[in-house]
Amino acid sequence: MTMINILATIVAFSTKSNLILGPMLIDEQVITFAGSNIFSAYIFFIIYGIVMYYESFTLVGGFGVARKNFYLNVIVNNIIVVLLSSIIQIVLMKIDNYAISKLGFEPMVDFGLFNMNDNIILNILLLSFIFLVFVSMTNLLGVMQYRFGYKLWIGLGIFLLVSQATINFIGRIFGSFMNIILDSNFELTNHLILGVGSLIILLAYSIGFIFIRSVNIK
Amino acid sequence: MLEITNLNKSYGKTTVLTDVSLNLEEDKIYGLLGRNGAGKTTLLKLMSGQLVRNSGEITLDGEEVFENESAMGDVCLVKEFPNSIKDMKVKNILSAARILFKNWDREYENFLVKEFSLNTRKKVLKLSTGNQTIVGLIIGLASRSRITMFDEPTLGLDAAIRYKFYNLLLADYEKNPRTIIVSTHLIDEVSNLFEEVIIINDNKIALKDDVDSFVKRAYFLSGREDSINKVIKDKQVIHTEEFGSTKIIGIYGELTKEEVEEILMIN
Repeated sequence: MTMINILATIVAFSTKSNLILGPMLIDEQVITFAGSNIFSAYIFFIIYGIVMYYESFTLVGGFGVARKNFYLNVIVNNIIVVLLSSIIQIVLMKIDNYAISKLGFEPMVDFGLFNMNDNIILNILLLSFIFLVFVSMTNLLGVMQYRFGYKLWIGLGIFLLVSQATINFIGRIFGSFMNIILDSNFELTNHLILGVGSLIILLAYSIGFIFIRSVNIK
Repeated sequence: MLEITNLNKSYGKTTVLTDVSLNLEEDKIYGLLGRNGAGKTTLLKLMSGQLVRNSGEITLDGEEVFENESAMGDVCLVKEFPNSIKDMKVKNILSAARILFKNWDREYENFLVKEFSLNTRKKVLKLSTGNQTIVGLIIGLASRSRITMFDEPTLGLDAAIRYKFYNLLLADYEKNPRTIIVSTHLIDEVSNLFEEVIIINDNKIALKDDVDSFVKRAYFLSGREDSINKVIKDKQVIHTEEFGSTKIIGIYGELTKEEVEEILMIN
């Protein structure tokens, strides 16, 4: 996806086309292939989370490794993977910003939790944190998929159908809640994002551990 | 050494093992026998901590096996590879085994790979059934785990390779004694390997005895039903067949001299 985006960017800019495919424009700020790489990363995280249990857990569990030891190693592995992914992503974004600037456009630098003009190590850590929130959830998905198999997806499907049926009711309650927040000058601070993210990471890994402890090795 | 107490295991509503109690000693070769679906594989998986039991205890030297790193590291179960890892190359599986089994013998592994002419660069999926089994046998033999369990170790093997495996197993057992459990249907071939036999029937341990005593105490009697029933009234019946008024009964137990004479008189 990244390569296609790079090629589309080159073609669009070199032909001075009015229709620019690939680059994303928000408030006159542009991001190109670095932005599409995020999608590749997230797809990788989903597959990695699920396949980890079907291949690695089955293999090492069959060779006498305790479930809790495997799970600890998964967490360490997750941290390494998100760190490497964020390093690659930040480097791509730096290159992207440089290329966009040279082409005479304004590069996208503000990404809410971090700014590309900030310290690069800080950016890598903050992006790793964002990735880890997602990876903790895909890890939980992997555990549930291993534990329940196809029944997980039937359960999710039923849940979606039921929630669709009650979406108006939920929307009314949620809408009222959002109005309260907006009216109260509520500010989504970085501290709140970090706090909620940390809670998600903790909950996702804890629930995953509860399920993996009592799973039969296939 | 390995002690199993009141072990129960069910899969949903299907009971697989009921109140199983066993005591396995160190440095012995056990045969685990039973019909299809008797619970042999389930028992082996429970002993290696790969399945979660419903109730009961499994301890190794007094320590719980399940989720105990040190105890689980002393147990190696060789079984059919699940589909999820058949896409891996043999050499990668052997590398993983080499890292995870603390007593792994690299030299012996290389010897076995050569002995069985195994191509380790191939994926397990691309191997024949027999060669896939051989990968498992190599892992079991080279692991040198204190307790090594083979679940149907002869699946897909031709007679020559089967006997090669039996000979290698015995030769290694003599040099490096350990507890070995072999679960198999080919009783005639392996009966000479076993020191003790464990028979599972109807979700329970039907019998556990050393082979010599087992052979001496197992009898098949045939004759008229009313005559046979007189002799077997206080004996453990392990098999029954009927052909009209003729009955064939397998019993397990001591027969006194008088009982033997009575049986001979019937015939």
